[in-house]
Amino acid sequence: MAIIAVGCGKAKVEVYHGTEANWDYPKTVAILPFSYETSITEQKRPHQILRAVFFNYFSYLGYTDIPIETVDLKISPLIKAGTSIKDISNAQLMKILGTDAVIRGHVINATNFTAGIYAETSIEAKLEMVDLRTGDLLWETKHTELSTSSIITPSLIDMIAEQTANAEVNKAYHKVSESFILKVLAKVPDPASLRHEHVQLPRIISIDSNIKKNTRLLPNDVIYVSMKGDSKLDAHFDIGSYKTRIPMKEVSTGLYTGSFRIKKGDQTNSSIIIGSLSNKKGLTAKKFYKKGLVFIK
Amino acid sequence: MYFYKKINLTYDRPLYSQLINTLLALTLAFQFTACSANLQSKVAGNLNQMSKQQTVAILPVEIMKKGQEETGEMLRQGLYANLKGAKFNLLERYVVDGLLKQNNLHNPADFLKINPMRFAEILGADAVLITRINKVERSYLVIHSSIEIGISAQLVDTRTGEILWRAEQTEQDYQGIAKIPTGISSAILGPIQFVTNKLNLHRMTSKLVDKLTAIVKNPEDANKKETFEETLISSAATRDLEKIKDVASLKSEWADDVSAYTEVPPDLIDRKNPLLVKPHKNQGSLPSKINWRQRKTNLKPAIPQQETTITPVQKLKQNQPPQYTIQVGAYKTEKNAHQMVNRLLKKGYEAHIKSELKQGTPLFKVLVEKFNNKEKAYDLANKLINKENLPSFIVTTAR
Repeated sequence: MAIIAVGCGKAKVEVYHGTEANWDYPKTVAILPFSYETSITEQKRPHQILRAVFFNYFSYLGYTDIPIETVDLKISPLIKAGTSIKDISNAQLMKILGTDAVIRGHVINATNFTAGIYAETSIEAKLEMVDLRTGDLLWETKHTELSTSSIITPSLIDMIAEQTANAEVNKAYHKVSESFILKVLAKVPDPASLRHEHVQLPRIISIDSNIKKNTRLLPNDVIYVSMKGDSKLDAHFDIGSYKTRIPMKEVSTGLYTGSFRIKKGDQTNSSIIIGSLSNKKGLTAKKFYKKGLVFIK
Repeated sequence: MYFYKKINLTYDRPLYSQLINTLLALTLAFQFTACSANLQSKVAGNLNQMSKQQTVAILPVEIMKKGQEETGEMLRQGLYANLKGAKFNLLERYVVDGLLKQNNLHNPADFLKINPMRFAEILGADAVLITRINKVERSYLVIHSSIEIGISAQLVDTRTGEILWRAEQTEQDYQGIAKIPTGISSAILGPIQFVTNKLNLHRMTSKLVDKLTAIVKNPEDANKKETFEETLISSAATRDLEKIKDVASLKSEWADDVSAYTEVPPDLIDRKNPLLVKPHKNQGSLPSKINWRQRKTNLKPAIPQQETTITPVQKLKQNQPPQYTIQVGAYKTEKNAHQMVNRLLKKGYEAHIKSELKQGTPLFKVLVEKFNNKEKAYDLANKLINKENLPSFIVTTAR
């Protein structure tokens, strides 16, 4: 590993609204496509790499972020109509994306070259997070991350390794993006601890089934499962990991039922029936039916 | 040549030669251990079944020593970032931490002892990733410094207890004389910078996670050596599955032996709306709104939220309606059964003991009252649950 000249020190993140005093800090965030200076060739894709790496690491913080593919899909009609990302208003974004906040990114400069004993990859970018509900700028940063390898690298072995690696453009950008993002995220407000107490899974009161003993089931036998819990949610049951996501239907308020008919060739041993109830936030509750196991010959 | 001769003046030839050989051997040894990684990783075939519909929770990392907290966080963050590209969904960290906190699960060292099924019910996840940092060692010897990180990871299916992936990895890197320094200052400063720069630890962790998770992201690429020969079930899950099996067997034995009984699961007791209600009039039929077609089946449909598992009524004489009594306990010793009976008698209940042999072992059951009417039995069972906090069964008995 090289002790090469990496980065330009720590990232400076200007935080205008921290999580400490702000209990209504944004929870849902969309990472918009990063723009880039025209001097950067599209083929190099540093803006896309930086965005993807940002998304991967940002999800570690206590925000609910929507996948970048979903963001792209939702804003694509506007982009296709010729609207630039920076020209989409906060109100429009909130309506289209349904999030509390967005992350905007702009790559100012990006370099990647290897020449003789010198190799360099750098990304200079500006990032900011905007509260769509109020229009407030929550934090912003302008940072340059630089990775170089040359005769000043402490060892020859590292120098050779770094220069070889630098020739793989995407990997080199990815590596620099990682350093960039880690430095920035270390200073970005994290509302995780504020949300711990508010996490609540859907409620499952009970689960029942007609499997009462360790009886071996035969083709054409039917496993019936019923579950009681919060109403108007998505319900399904699993037979261990053998058959999963067998749909259940809400037959009366909070009462869900589903069934599985054994077919010829089905086979499982000691599988447990598990009921699941999922809400729109993507949280799922599970309950095990423990009065009997499923054995299928 | 001059240098050689000069040296020779001072040292014996064999000694000098030995010294050179030792230095060469050390250099070679350093080279071979440099940037070395030792990865042992195996996956289960069922890992291929995981899809975006399944959720994995990455639990907080267990650390072995104080001072490893930061590496633990780096590792977990790296795992989250890396496994975003996996075929399954990740349960957000704040959700995982929040739910663990709500359930007083603060110590990652306990995670392996907990039945994965419990994690399923607590977190709603289909699998949990349990990781541990075995080692974080930084050494500095003026011209040589090194960092060594060792971790182990285990992905467990919470629905079955199956171990889907298990890995151990050690990553070691160094900076020093063996890497052929570019100058004197590099030879001295390189090792200091290497071991003190936090970014190096981060890079090593990132590299380690990259290698570690490669097989999880593409389990179909695993070769035979990297695949478990047999299904491995976590010990905590095995224990509980066996328990469920045993309980189910016991219940079926009881059902055969002791006429019929009704169990009241304590977690289902709703004190305002007692669980022990009259049997559903449509018992045996299906909910009307579902378009289920009743076919020939060996099983009876489930009736939700009902207490009934009334079995071998055929054992009773068909012409005589059964009587109902409430079982509040079954003891191995008569003394314990008597204690319970006395306690109940003092409170005004008509309690008695019924003894029988279970697989050659005596069993003393404590029964309360006898009723011709099932509803009255339910009422008393309710009272015993709510007032006396006694879980009970309703048992039918011959006259």
